[in-house]
Amino acid sequence: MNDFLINLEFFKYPIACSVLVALVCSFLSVYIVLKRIVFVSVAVTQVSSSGIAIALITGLNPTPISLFFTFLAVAIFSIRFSERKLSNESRIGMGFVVASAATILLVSKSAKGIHEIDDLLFGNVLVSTPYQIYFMLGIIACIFITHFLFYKEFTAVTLDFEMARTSGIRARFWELMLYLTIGAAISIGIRTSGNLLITTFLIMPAVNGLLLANRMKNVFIIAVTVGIISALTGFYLSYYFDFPTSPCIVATLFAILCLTLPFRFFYRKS
Amino acid sequence: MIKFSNVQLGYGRKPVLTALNFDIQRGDFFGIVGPNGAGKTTLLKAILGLLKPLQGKISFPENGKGQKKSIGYVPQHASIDEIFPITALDMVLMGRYAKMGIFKRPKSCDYELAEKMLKNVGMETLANRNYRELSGGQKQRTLIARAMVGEPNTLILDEPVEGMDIQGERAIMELIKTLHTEYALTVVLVSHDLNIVANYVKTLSIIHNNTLKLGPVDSMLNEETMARVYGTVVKIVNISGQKTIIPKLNE
Repeated sequence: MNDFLINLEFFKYPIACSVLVALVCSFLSVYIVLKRIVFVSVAVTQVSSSGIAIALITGLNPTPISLFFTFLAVAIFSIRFSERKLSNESRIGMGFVVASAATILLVSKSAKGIHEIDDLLFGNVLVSTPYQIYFMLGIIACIFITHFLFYKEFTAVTLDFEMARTSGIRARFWELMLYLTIGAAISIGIRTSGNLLITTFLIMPAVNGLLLANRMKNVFIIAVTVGIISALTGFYLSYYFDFPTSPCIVATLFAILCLTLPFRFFYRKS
Repeated sequence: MIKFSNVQLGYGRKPVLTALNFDIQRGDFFGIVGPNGAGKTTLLKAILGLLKPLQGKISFPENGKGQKKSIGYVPQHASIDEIFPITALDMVLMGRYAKMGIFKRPKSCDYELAEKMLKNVGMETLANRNYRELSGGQKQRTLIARAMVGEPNTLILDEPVEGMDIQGERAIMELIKTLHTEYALTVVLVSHDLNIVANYVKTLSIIHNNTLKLGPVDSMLNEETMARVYGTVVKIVNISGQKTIIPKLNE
């Protein structure tokens, strides 16, 4: 631990980056799990990776390219088509596999090849720069302000889209806004945290929260707390055991989830 | 009042209901029945504004130009996702969101109104209970309160007694009848349960062969029409002032 604390100065940006990604993705995971759009978030994350792959081979700035592709995917996936002939699930699934294939094809022609696929999948949190942190802080502040101001609209379209629409809420607009905030969170974290970690943060913290809490506010608090604790613990474990950071954080999240289950069982019993 | 002028409804280019020309009068208790797949849900979605007509116009003449239609919608309780950690009170409060306006948080008057509506539907003691922990009947009452808290002039219900026992069915229908009278509401109710509809609605509309026929319940509800619409012979009997529709077996 002492060794880690001595080197803390070197790790301050990567740690800040992990915590920020954990904070925003864990918060949004509550909407994703409640709205049952886990598969949408997985597909959007993959499309975001394709954007990064394009940036890598063209030498452009990855974040705006990733943002563009993510928002495009969000706009397409948020359209509600009639499911009479083609289910939305199939449409999103196709988006996921096409984006995955496109990412592999793009980076296969890159000089670094397989290492870039590694980067896309697991991220490279150690490359975080102060500029990236400030940029993330700005976007995250916008996301939280949006969610603070429009909490009731977001919860209404998450719980009951048709009721929201018939009661006079512009449900399609607010649903798109919700998806855009999710897309923005994915885009800012994908380069440093990678596909695997972002997807995990967009699912598991909310599952923890929903298993333990019976009120929306508490679900948000638990999800965010679990996300941040996992990010910090996972980071330390990756340093201590010399493992890659993202899988360590995912493993920590899973371990916390496993501890939640017996806790919930005994809590319910008592 | 809800006015249908030469309306055609459907999905894509395929019409499901055609030549709809009728009015739902203010203060009416309007029932929509028909066999499975006839287009009951399609008609309901059109009234709610969730489905645009392929042709014609659905208007709310009394609302005036630019004024929003005032509809309270009660979906089937099974359509609400139980994963949501929300109390009955918060569920009802959600019905006020559109009235509060953008950037606004619920105020004490919104909470008072939500509590009053829960009391009106007999749910005041369960206000802080989680929605998912309520019984089917209690959930339906909560959703009725949520629709009412927006102070609508029209209440639209989709299969309000679906999956309930006889006692629950009666309690919910009596509640709707009371609200209809007390608040001078126009009630539009979709149900596949003819026995329920026959004893509560004033105007009965029957969807058959891609169109809709309507009239006072007593004139519409006859054995010949029912046999034609449902393709089975039925007997309509009056037991202690209550209409009962019984399908005849082996015919």
